[in-house]
Amino acid sequence: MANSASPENLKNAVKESQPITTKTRLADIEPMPAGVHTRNLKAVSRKTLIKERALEWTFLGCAMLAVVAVLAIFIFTFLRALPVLTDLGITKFFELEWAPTDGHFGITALLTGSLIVTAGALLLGVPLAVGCAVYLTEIARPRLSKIVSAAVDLLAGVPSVIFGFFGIVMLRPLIAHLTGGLGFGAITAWLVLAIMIVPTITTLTMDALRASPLGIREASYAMGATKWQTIYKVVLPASKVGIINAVVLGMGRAIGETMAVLMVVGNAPVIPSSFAAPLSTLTSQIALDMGYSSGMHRSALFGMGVVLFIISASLVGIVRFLSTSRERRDEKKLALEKKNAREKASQVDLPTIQPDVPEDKLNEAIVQQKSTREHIKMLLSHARKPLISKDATNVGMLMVFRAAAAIASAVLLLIIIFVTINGAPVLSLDFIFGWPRGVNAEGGIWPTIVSSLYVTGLAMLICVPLAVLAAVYLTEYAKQGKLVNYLRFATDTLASVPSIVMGLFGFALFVEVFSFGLSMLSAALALALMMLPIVMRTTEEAIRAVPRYIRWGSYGLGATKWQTVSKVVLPSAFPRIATGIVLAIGRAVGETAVVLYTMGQAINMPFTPLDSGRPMTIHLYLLANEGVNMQAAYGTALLLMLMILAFNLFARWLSQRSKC
Amino acid sequence: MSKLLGKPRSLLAALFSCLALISAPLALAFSSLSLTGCASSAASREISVSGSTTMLPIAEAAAEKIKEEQGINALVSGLGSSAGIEAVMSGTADIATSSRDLTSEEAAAGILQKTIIAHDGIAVIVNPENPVTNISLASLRAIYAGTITNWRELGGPDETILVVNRDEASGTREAFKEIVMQGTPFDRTAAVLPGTGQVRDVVSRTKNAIGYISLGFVASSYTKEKVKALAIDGVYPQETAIQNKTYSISRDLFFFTRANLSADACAFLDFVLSDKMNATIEEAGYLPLSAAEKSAQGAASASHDAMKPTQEVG
Repeated sequence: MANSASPENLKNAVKESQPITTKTRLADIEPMPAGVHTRNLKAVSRKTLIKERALEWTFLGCAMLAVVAVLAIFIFTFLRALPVLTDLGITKFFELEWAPTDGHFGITALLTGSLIVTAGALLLGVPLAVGCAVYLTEIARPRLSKIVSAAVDLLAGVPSVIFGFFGIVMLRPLIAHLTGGLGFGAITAWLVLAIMIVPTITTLTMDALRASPLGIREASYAMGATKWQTIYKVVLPASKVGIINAVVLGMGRAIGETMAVLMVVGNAPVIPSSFAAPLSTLTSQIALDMGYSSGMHRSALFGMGVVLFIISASLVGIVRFLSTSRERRDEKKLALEKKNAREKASQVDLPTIQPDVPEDKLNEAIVQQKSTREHIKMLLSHARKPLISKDATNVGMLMVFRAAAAIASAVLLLIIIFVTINGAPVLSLDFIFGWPRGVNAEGGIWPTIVSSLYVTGLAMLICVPLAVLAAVYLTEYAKQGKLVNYLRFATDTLASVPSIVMGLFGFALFVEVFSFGLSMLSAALALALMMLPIVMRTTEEAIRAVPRYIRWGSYGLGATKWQTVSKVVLPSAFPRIATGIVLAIGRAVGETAVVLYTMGQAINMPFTPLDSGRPMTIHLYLLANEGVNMQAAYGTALLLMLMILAFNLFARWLSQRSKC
Repeated sequence: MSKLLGKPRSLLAALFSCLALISAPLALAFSSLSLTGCASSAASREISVSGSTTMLPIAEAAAEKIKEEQGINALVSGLGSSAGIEAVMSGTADIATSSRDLTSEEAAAGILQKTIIAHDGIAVIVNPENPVTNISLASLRAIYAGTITNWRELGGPDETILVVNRDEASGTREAFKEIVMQGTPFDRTAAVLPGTGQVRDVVSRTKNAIGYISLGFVASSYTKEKVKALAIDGVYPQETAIQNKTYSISRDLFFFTRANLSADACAFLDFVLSDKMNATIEEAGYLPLSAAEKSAQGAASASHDAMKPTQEVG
C-alpha cells in the first residue's frame, strides 16, 4: 500500500490550494481539496488510482442525475405539448375559453384561477405562518415552543388528500351555509391551501429567524426597546431573505397543489363572477381531464404542465437570485467599508486641541462641539411621543402573535381530531387485513396498504443509493464553482416541480415510452425522482455536520479519499442520513398525483414490479369523491395519518439518538 | 469519538427494522396469495376493465364473483366512460364499461363491438326541502344552459338555482347532453363534480341545488341524507317507466370490446350477461336485460373471435 500522503506531497497540496497567512484558521484549511487528491494519487498503486478515479466519475454521474432529470422532464413534457405550438398556435393557447369538446384550448381562465387561488392562500397563510413562527422562536417559553414546533413539523407531512377530504366534508357545507352558494369556489380553496402551506412556511421561517445572531436582539433590548420593537425593527429585517425564501417556497407549493384543490374548487373553467363561485386551476384541470383526453386535448394538458414547470422554475430562480444578490451586496458593502476605514485611518481629521492653534479657531471648534450637543438635546426634548405608549403596543402585538399561533395550532389540531374521531370506530383487524368487497368497497383496505408500502419501498431502493452518492460528490469531491452551482439549481428546480407535472412526465416516459405500463415500477421511478432532491439535501447536511478534524486524522494516516469517505465520514453521518431517508419515506407514502398517472387505480395485490395496484392515498381520494362509503374513507385517512406519523416520529427518534 | 463510530451499528439495526416493517406486509401478501390457491394455477389470468363510474359497482361485483368461481383476475377502474373507450381503442384495456353509446367518430373507426348490459334512467335530483316536483324537458335544458337562473320561474322559492354538472369523462353527462341538451351548450359556470356520489352528497345538503345522477344512486343505504327525484314532463323515473321508455331520460349501459377478445375477457362478458348477475345489477339500482333481450344479443363468445386462453403474467 503506497503512501500517498508523504510530507512532501501534503506540503505541496496545501501550498497549491490556498495561501496560508497568519489569519488563516486551522479549521478553514481543507485537508484534501478537490482536484489535488487525484494528483497525489500518482504516488499510489495503479489499481488504487483506477479505483479512485472510477468512483469519482460514478459519483459525478449520480450527481448529474438531477440535472438530467430536470432536463428530461422539461424536454418530454415540452415534446408532448409541441402540437400546441405547431398546430394550435400560442395565441390560441392563451385565449380565454377552455372548451375542449368545441375545440377551444385557451388556458387564460385556468391561469387566472391558479393565480387567484394562490394569492388568496398566501394572503391568509403567510401572516398566520410568520406570526406563528415569530411566536415560537421569540415569544413562547422554550418548552412550549419545542412541543408546538414538533407538532407543526409532523403536520408538514400530512398528505394533501387528507386536507382535501377535510375541505369537502367540513369546509364546503360551512362555506355553502355562509355564502348561500354551493361552497365550491375560491374561498374554500383559499382556506384549504392556507392550512396546507402554514406548516411549510412556519418551519422555514423559524429556521431563518434562528439563523440571525442572538446578539442583535440583546443589543436592541439594551437600548430599551420592547419585544415588539425588537421583532419589528431588528429581527424581521435581519431574517428578511430567509422569510422571503420561505414565502416563495410556500407559493411554489400552493401553485403546484393538485388533489386538495381539485376536491374543493368546483372545476368550472371560467373566470369566476365572485369568490364564492366555482372556478378551475391549471393543476385541477389537468387532473380532471387527463384520464380521457386524446389528441390536441392531451397536448394542451401537457402544455399546461410546461407552463406550471416554467412558473415553479422561475420561483426557484428568484429565490436564488435574492439570496445570492444579498450576499453580493453584503460583500460589496464590506469591501466599501474596509476601503473607507483604510482611508480614514490614513487621514487625520480629529479635532485635537493643539497648543499652536489660534484662539478664534479653537473657540470655533468648541462652539461646534457644543452646538452639536445642544442640537441633540433639542431634538430629544422636542421629540413627539407616540399616541400609544410603546408598552401598550408591545402588549397588543404580542397578543396578535399569540393569536396567530393559537389559530394555526387550533386548525391543525381540528383536522387531526376530525380524522381520528371519525376514523377510529372503523379501524379493526378486519378493516386493516380484509379486502374491499361489494359495490362500495366495504370490507377492508389490505391491498391498498400493501400497494402503498410496496411502491414506497421500491422507490426508496432506487432513490437512496443515487441520492447519497450524489450528495457525497457534491460535498467531498466537487470543486465549489460553476458546476456545483448548476447542480444545486437543478436540484432545487427538481424539488419544486409540481407533483402533477411529475405524474405527467412519469406517464409519458415510463408508462408509454419505456412501455412499463401502469405499474409499480413506473410509479416507483417517478416517486424516486421526486424524493431525490430531498434525500440529497439531507444527506449533504449530514455530511457537512461531520467535523473536519476527523478527515484530517484519516488523511494523516494515509487514507485515500474513498477510504476516508466510506470508512470515516459516512458512518458518522449515518444517523442523520437515516433521518432524512425516513422523512422522505413519510413524504412518499402521502403522494397522490404522481402515483395516479403511473400506477392506475385498479385494486390489486401487487406481486412483481410490473403489477399495478391502488395505494391508500388514491383509495381515499376515490372514496371521498364517490361520497358513498365515507366510513371507509375516514378509516383510510386515519391509517394513512398514523403511518406517516409513525415514520416521522421514528425519524425524530433517530435524530435525537444521534445528538446525545 | 469511538462512541460516535459505535452508534451506527445499533442504528443500522434500526434501519433494518424499518425495512423489515415495510417488507412484512409483502411477505404476508406472498403467503396469502399461495393460501388462496391462486398460485396453484399456472399464472394469474388478468384482464383490465375500465370506464364508467356509474357501472363501477357492477364491474367490481362481477370481478369479485368471477375471481371466486373461475380464478380470473379482473382489474377494474373507473376513470369515466370516455377514458374506458379510449383505453380499449388504444389497447391498454380489454373491456370498456360505458354509460353512453359511441360517438359517430368512435363508431366510424369500426374497432369496437357493443354489448348492452343493463338499462338505466338518469334521475334529476333536488334537495328534499325544495317544493318543486315536476319539470319539463325544455325547462331542464334552460336551467343547464344557464338561461333560467331562479327557482321562482319554476314555481319554487325566490332563490338562485345552484347547478351541479358532471365532468366531461362521465358517460352520465354525455347521455344527459344527448337526450336533454340536444345541442345547446352547457352553462360553463356550473360546478363540475367528478363523481356520482359527490353530486348526490352536495345536492342532499344544499337547499337550492340541482343535479343528475343514475337512478340507482337516488336511494342510498349508506347515508341518512336524502334527495328527491323530479318528474320529467309528469313521468317519475321508475322501473316500469324506464322499461316502457315513457321516462325520457333513459339509456342503456354498455360494454365495448375489440373484435379479437381473449377467452378470459369473453368469460367475463358472458358472466355479466348471465342470470347470476341479475340480483347484483338490481341491487346496484339498474334494470337487468330481460331474457328475450339477452337471447337476442347472443353469447359474447359467438360474436367475438375468442383467442386461446392467454396466460398473462402480471
